[in-house]
Amino acid sequence: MSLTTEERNRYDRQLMLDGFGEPGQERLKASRVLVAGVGGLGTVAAQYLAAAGVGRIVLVDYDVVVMSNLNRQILHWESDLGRKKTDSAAEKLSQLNSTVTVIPRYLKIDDEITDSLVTEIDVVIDALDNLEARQILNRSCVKHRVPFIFGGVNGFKGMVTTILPGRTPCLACLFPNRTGSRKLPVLGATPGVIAGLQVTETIKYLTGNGRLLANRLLSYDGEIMRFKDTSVSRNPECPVCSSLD
Amino acid sequence: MRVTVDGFPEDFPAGLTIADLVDIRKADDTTLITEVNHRFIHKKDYGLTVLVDGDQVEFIYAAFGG
Repeated sequence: MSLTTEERNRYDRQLMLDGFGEPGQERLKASRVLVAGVGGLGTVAAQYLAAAGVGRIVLVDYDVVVMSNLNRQILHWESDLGRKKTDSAAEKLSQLNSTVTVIPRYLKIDDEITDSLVTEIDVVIDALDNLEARQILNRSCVKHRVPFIFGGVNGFKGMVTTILPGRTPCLACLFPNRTGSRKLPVLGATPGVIAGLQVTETIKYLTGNGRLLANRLLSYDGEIMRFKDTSVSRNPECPVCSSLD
Repeated sequence: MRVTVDGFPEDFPAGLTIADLVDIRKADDTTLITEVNHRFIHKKDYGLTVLVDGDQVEFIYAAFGG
């Protein structure tokens, strides 16, 4: 999938990156990334994916834009109130980069639908807002061995890890509970930080650059401005991934 | 023995497990993650992980908002 002259110009600054070049950009162009959740994390992640030239971006959400979203969900504007988040985001992303394909999918992550979503996807960015849906998506990603970039936020805090099924702990290894959702406070910039890290991981994975945040859980606390790196390991008794090698 | 919990050193009786410490601190929460000397401890191992003098424990609360 070679680049056009316009694409060489558009992506000039990332083509200059060590180990990236045209082959890296061509890999992005051929890549398919699913963004699960088009809220605080998802709107930021989707923008950087589109701007970077990821060829096919699938947006999944089952919600409409409300006023209280606007402090952080930066692809949704006042004029979008009441619209499906998937439509609101897809419209702006197409204007940001008309050369990428954006596919809005207005549906809920649940056991029946999720398996079909992750097939023919290279990476899933977890931008969901509750643990229950994350566990469902995690199971599908483990089943189909699709990398799952976990990110979550709460207030000034957030965390990220890169899950490579069979090689790193899966979400259920780290968080065996099934539920953990409630209405949380969020400073708008916090999902900006975390989603930026998730996209960095995604692009590194897709282009084969750098060292992934695999087997490490990165925690961020914006209140005291500290990042913390914790070594994590697979749970040999994990009901979701222990049978994978 | 002296164990550092969330950055603050404290004295505890020998034989203290993570499960004991979670109890003492009333830290039980579905979002709790425990790290000992920068290593994640699986929940199933809380009762089996005996702390020793000099250990550094951190309680981290997972963030599941989006």
